[in-house]
Amino acid sequence: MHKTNGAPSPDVAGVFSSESFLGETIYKTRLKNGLEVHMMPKKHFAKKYAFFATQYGGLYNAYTLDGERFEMPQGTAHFLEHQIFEDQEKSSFERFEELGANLNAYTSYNSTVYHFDTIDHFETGIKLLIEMVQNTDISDASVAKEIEVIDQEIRMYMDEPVWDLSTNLYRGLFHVHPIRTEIAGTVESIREINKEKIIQCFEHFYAPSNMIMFLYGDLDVQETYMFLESIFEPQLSSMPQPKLLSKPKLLLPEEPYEINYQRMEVEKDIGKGMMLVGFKGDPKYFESDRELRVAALKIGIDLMFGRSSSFYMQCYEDGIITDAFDFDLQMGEGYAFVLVGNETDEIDPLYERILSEVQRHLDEGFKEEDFMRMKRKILGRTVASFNSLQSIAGNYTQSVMRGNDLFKQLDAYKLLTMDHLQEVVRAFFDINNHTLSIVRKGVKHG
Amino acid sequence: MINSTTKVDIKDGIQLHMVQSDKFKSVLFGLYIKRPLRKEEVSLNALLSRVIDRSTAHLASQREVNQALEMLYGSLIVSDVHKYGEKQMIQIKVQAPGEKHIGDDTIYAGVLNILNDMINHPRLVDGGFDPEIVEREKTALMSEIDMRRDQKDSWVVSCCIETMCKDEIYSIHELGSSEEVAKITPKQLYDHLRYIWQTSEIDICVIGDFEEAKMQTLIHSIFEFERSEIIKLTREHVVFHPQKVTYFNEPHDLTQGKMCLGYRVNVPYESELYSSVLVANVMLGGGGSSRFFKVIREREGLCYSIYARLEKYKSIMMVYAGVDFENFDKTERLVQEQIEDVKSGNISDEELEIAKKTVITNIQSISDYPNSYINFYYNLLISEGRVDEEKHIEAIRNVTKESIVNALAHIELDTVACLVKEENHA
Repeated sequence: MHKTNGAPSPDVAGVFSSESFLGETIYKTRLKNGLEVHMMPKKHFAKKYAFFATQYGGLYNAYTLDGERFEMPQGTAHFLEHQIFEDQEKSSFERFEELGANLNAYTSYNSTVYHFDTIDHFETGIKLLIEMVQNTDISDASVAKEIEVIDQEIRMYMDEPVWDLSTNLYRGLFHVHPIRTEIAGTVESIREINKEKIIQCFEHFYAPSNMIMFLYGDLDVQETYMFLESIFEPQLSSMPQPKLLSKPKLLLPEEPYEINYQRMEVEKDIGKGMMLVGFKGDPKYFESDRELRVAALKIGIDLMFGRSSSFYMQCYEDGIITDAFDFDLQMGEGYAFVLVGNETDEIDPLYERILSEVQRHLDEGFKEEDFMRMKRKILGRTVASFNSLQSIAGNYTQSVMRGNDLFKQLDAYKLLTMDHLQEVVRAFFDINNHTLSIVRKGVKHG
Repeated sequence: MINSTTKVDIKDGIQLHMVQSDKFKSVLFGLYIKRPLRKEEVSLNALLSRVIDRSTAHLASQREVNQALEMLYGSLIVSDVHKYGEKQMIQIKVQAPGEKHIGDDTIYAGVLNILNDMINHPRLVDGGFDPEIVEREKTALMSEIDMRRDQKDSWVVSCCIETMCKDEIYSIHELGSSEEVAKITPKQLYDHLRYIWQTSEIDICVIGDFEEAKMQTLIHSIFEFERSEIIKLTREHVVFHPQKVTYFNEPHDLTQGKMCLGYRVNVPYESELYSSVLVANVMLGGGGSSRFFKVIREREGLCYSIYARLEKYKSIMMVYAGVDFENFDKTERLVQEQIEDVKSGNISDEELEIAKKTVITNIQSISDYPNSYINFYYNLLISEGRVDEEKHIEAIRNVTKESIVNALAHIELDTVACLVKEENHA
C-alpha cells in the first residue's frame, strides 16, 4: 500500500480537487458518466457512510427541461423517494440489512438523498445503493399502495402540535412560494400522483450526471474512485437508464417581497399555547458575500434571543417562555426568513417583546464583549461537531445539496467583524415585514 | 475505537470510569446519581434536576451560568432524570471541546468547577434554593407534565405502560406528578440534594481524548463528596401472567389513530435467553426488514410508523403503530399473527441472520458516538456490573431458531392502548 491515511498518491492526485478543515479533507472528482463524487477518508471510525443525492425536492412542483415546462402535483419528489424502495423480488431494506447496513432516505426542499451506513461490505453496499436508485420497479399497484402509506405519514405530521403553527406561518409569510406546502404534499395532492408522472420525474432527475455521491469513513480515495468507475462501466452502454442528460431547472413563481398576511390564530387541544414570529427578508441579499452574511445573521439572532441574552433571561424569569424557546435562520431558493418563538401562554406579551428586542438592537447595535464571547462559543461548538463522523457526513452532504460551502461557512465565523455584524443585521431585518402564527390552548384541556 | 477503559473507586459507592479514545475532538462527562424509583421522591428528583443547573453561589442566574459556559468555548451542561426499570437516575452531562484542539488547558477544570458548585455550592436563600428559581422551575415542570399528552405517539406508549403496570412501581413516570411538585419547598429540595448526595451510589463517566492520570487528579481535587449509609437498590419483578388482555381507549383531537400493544416477554436480562429476545425484537419490529414493517406497512399499506421496542429491566416489549382509526383491530391481529408465527419457529435462516447482524452492528458501532457509548456503557454497568462488548457479541452470534422459540415461549399480550378520535369534535 502506498499510503496510510486514505489520501490519493501524488501521481493521480490531479484527478481530485480537495479542501481541508480542522484536519479533515474532502476529495472531489467527476466520473466518466458525469456523476460527481465527494470522499472524506477518516480513520478509526467503525462505520462508513454513503449518500446518493439528486437535486430534486419538495419545492420542485414546476421546472423546465430543455426549454419545456413541467408541472407536478405537490409531494411528487417525496413520493418518488418512497417508490425507489419498491422492488418486486426483495425488500430493499433486507438487501442492506443482510450486509449489516442501515438504509434510509429523506426528501428536503431541494434534494432527495438515499443513504446507508455500514461497518463491513462498504463497496457491495455502494453497488446496491446505485442499483436500487437507478433501477425502479414502479407499477400502478405500487403507486396505489404507497398513496395509503403516505396518507398515514402526512396524518402523522398533522397530529404533531407544531403542524398548524408552522404551516400557518409559512402561508402567512409567502404568497405563492412552494415552501407553503409540506414536502410530503397534502392528503389531496398525493392522490393526483400516478405511475406516468413518477416515471417522468425519475427520468428527469435521476440521471447520474444530475446526482452526487458522498462517501465518508475509513476508505481509500483512489481505490474507491476506481471501484466506482468500474460499476458504471457496463452501465454506460447496456443498462436501461435515464435518457436525458441536461439538468432540469427549478421554476419558482414570482414571490413578492412583502408578507401575505400578518397574523393567523387557531385553537387546539394542547397543554400550552404556541407562537412563532417569522421575519421575512430578501433572499437576493445573500447572492453576494453569502457565508459572511449568514454568519452575521446567525450570530446576530443568537445575541438577541440566545440563552445568554438579556431577553431570554427576562422572559424566562417572567414565566413567558420555556426551555423550548428557539430561533433560526431559514434560507434557500427564493426564500430567507428568521423564526422566533415556541410554547407560551403569554402570546401577545411575548410577541411585543420580540418586536421591541429586534428594534432595540437595530437602534443600539451589539456589544463588543458579547460578540467576542459568541465567537468563542462557535469555535468550541465547531470543534465538538467534528466529533461524530455521522454528523460531519450529514452536515457536509446537506450543505453541498443546498449550494453552501460548509468549510467556507465555518471560516466565515472567524472572519466576521463587529462592524459587519451590525451592518448585516440592519440590512436584513425589516421589522414590519413579519407574520405571527398562533396556536391557542383550547378550552377542553382544562 | 476505544483505546482503554479504567475504573477507579473514589469513595464508598462512588466510581470513576474513564473511557479513552483519541478519535473524539470533545470530552463528555456524565454524572449519575442512582435512586430507587418511588412516589416519595420521584417529583423531588425531577424538580432537582431542573433547579440544580440554573445557578450557583458564584453564578447568580441562568444567564451568568450560560455566559460562563460560552466563555468555556460553548461547553454544555444538561441535567435531567431518566428511568432505568424501577430506578430513577439524575443525570448531569457536560460536553467540552477538547483542550488540545482549542489550545487552552483550563477548560475541563472550568466546567468541572461549575458542576461541583451546582451540587456543593448552590445559590442559597435562607437555607434553601433560591425561591424564585424554585417557583419558576416548579411551574415549568408542572406544565411539562401536563404537556406529555400532546406528543401523541409517546403518550399512547405511556398510557399502555401505566395501564399494564398499574400495580407496579414501574408505572411511576420519571417526571413525577403535578400535585407532588406543587408541594415542594426550596428548603426541602435543598435538604433532599444533601441527602441523596450522601446516600446514593454515584458514577462519573468520562469519555474522549484526555490524559487519564491528569483527569483523575482533576476530578479528585475538584469534587467534594460526602458519604453516609448508601441505599442499595433491588432488582425489578419481571414475570407476569395477565389473566386477559386489557383494552384502554382515550379520545383525542386527532387525524390518525395511535396504538401501542404491551407484551410481557417474561425473560429477565440475567437469563441466557435474553440475547434471543433482543434478536426476536429486531426481527419483529426493528426496521425496514422487520416482520411488522414488511407485513403491516409494505404488504397491507396500513401505516407509516410501526416498530417494537424492548424495556430491558422489566422484560416488556412495546409495539407502536400509527394507523387509521378503523384499522386498530386489523393491526392488532396482524401483529399477533407475526408474533405467533415467530414463536412457532417459522423463521427463515435469512431473517435470523439479518436480525443478528443488525444487533451486532449496533454494538460494534456504538463507540463512534460519545453520547451513545456513555449510555450503553452505563446501562451495562448498572445491569451487569461490567462492560464486555465481545461477550455480548458472542452471545448474539449463538442465537438460534430454537433459542428464539424458547425465549418467546412465555410472551403474553397484556394491554392494548389506543388513542381514538374524539366524537362530536367541532
